[in-house]
Amino acid sequence: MPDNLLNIQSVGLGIAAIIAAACIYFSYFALPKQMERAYKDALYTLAAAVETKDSGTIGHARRVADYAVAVASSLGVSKNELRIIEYAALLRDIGKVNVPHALLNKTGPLTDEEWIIMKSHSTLGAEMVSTVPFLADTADLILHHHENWDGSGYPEGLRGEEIPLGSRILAIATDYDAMVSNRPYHQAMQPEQALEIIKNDIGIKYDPKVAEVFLNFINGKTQKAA
Amino acid sequence: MQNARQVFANYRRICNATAIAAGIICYLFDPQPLRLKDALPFIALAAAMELSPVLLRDAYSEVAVTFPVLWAAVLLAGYQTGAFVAGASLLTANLIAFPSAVLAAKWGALSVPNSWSSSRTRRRPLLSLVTRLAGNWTGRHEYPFSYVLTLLAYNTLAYVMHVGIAGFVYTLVGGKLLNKQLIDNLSWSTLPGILGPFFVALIVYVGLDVAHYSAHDAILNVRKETGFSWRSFALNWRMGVRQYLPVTARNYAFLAPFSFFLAAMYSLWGPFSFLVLLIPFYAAKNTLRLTMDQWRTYRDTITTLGTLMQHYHPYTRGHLRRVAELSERLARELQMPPRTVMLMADAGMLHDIGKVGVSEEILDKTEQLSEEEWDIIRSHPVKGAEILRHLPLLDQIVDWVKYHHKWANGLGYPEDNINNGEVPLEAAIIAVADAFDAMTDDRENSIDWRCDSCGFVPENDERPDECPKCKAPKRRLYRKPLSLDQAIDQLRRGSGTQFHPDVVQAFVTMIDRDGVRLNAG
Repeated sequence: MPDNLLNIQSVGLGIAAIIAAACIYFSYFALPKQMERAYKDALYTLAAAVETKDSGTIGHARRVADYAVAVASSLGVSKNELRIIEYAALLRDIGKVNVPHALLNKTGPLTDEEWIIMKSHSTLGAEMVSTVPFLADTADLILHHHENWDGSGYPEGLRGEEIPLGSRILAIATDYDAMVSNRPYHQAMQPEQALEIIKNDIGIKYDPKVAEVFLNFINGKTQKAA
Repeated sequence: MQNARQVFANYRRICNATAIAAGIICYLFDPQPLRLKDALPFIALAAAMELSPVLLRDAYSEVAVTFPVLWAAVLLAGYQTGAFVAGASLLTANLIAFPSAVLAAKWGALSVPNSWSSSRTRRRPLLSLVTRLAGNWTGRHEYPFSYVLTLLAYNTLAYVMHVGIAGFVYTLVGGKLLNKQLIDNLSWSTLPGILGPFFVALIVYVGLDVAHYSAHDAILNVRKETGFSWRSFALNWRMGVRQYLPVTARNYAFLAPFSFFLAAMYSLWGPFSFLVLLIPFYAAKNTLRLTMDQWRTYRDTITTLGTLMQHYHPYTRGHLRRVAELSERLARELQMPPRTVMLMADAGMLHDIGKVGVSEEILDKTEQLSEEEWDIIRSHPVKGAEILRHLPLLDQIVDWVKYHHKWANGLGYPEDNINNGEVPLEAAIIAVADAFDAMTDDRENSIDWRCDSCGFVPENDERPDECPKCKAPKRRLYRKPLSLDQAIDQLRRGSGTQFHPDVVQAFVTMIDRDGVRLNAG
């Protein structure tokens, strides 16, 4: 064993450099990544809370988010917009927390008054997320996720390209997933059946371009499964 | 019976006198020339440390890491210089902090004690710097000047005394002053000769610190109604020691090696070494702050949205906030780990989130519920746990939410048996806070009828079934709230059956001492 324990100068410098480098790495690379994951998990949780109230089963929002991200990325949107679309997909129904249970689970047709309350969820949801800084970008997509291509949707009756792209994607993804899963008011459909219905509504409810990409995506998925 | 304030003043006087006497005795015993020039860089560094406390992970306290600097001074130049550095650096730091606090107050930044998270200071770097320099002086600058002086003298002298006495012990037990020759010849055989005395001195230092500050807090906690008594002092003191000792020992054990390191670097490179070490220090400090900042924003996001979701009943917001506050205080009272205390606030806000899965008709029903309806209500803690399950950073609170309606004797719901019927203490805390607030909630104390939706209050004593203004149906009939004593009585009666006895005991003690609302008085 050497008698001289260590050269304290070089050890000191080395430790100082390592600490500084580790801090820089952590603050600028590791931490943002970790926080982004944490936020996404938080949004899944909030989505789960809405679903507990809405349909009672958890998972719808997650699937819609997966569809929406797949469609959006094949349409070639930027990375940041992709993130916004994913967040909006998870939170689009958050306004439903203010819609009574009785209405959400009603099996019969809704009265006009009930429709007004039901329709308020997109406005309210947009309001709710706009209070949170890192979610404020999603407010626009959430506000318009029930607009139709021909202008017959709500709340503002936008038509065609006036509707934000993200909202157009959300509309089709939501409808598809609602059709193929069980709800209080209907039984789950087969994917082919649901796609047929969507095809009939192209140009009426859905953007033709988005619908085409979506149909291709679902077809590819079902083929892969088969 | 002595006035608590008087006791406190006397105590400070005694401490100051002791410190001065100890200084004189030390000097007579072992006169040493004070080398101001050598002390200056240490004073500057220690003052800088004093002004830039490091935010700990528990987010409650910022801790000044002055300790290694002072001990480096002790190791290099002896205990007298070390004590001098301690006093001088604290005075210097306060000389900078005091005007900063006045300035910050003038610029209107004082309402934000934790200034790092305020968007206002983030946009104004100068203001941010000033508020940071002001540190714990924010708010204190409004005291009478004589009081500020006494406080400063007390703090400084206590500090000087601790460093001085512990440093003196270091010399007594044969600790040598570090110099270049000693460090160059550092070997396994000479190491115990240096570390041994330092270890003894460290124990003395921790003991002094803990004993002294516990005494300080114990006197502060003297109850106003009953006045000072040695019995209650001893009780409070023991509590303080139990609380401070582990934290202090841990912190100092962690920091102790740095004082050696600092001393060694200084003896080789002189003051320049401080500059080299300051860069990683501030980098690390910044990273800690950033992490805490991010985490706080994250928790805020979840609780904000989570609370918004529970807003079907307009009264809920106040209830949730009070439950959160009470749970947090109660956890602190029970001396739970800081991280738990912090998470208790979130758990308090989110404990009823499962109720979004219960239909409003059932929640609102004023007549007797059927058994099925009860089952649905009883499912809300499990639903809440199901919702919160996927949060990796908050996964601890899932069980707290799930079992907040489980009784201490195994009754209550849900019916599964966690840990053989041992309900988590955190869940028991939420249960007590929740029950207490529900019993005492005075939302209807002064007003007999108020609309849940628009807040409308009719002028005469009518109690309509629907709101005359916004036509919303009356959702809920309120019962009269209990008084504080009645509610505590109810908690006591349920202690051991419905509520955890320790939690009830701590709750009663806490309410007795601090009142129900902290801000109210």
